[in-house]
Amino acid sequence: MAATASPVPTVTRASPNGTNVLGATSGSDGWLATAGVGCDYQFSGRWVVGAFVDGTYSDIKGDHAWRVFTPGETFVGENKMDWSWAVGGRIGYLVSPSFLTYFNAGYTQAHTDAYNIRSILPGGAAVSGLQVPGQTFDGFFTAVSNISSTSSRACS
Amino acid sequence: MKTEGRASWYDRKDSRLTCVTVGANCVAGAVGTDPFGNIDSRRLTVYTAKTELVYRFNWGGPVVAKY
Repeated sequence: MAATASPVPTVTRASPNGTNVLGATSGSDGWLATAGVGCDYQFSGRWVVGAFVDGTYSDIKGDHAWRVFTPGETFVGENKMDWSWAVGGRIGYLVSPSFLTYFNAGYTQAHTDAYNIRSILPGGAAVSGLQVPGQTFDGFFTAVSNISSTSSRACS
Repeated sequence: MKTEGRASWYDRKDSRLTCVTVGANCVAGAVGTDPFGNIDSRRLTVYTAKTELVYRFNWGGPVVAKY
């Protein structure tokens, strides 16, 4: 009688751990510090137009998931936006002599830091050895702002 | 004093994984390479709220802005 080998147990990962990761939305939060400079021109009494540029250092972080097909695993790592800058124009209206409200829009660029990813499967190794490279993104922005002064002096 | 709410939309960009250290998914010979060819496609949308101090120089005009 021929011996029959027992089938090797396999772990089936049908749609493992979230093909839903594809197309998923992941969030981040954090703080930022901005410095900027601009120039404004006031016309027709109450209208103001201007241009500006600003740069931002940020610590905006959140977990971001990766579905890696070849090992058939899902990984997660902490994605961080570390800097951005923007250049744009603005148009505003003086609601009162000491209160300017305005709309602005323009071009912006943001950078995310490189980060390591780890398996989120039970028993998965903490160190995958894999890293998502840093990346720079181009985009545009719109914003609404108010400037108010509690003083009639130039420093507002 | 300035307050601002800003929405930024960034273009989609793809990233490829890189083996940087030896680990469960990265053998020694693969360090420095892209072993799986996976692409992660990200499109960032960022909302920020800021409060800023503004200093106005009032250069170059007869009108001295008070805002």
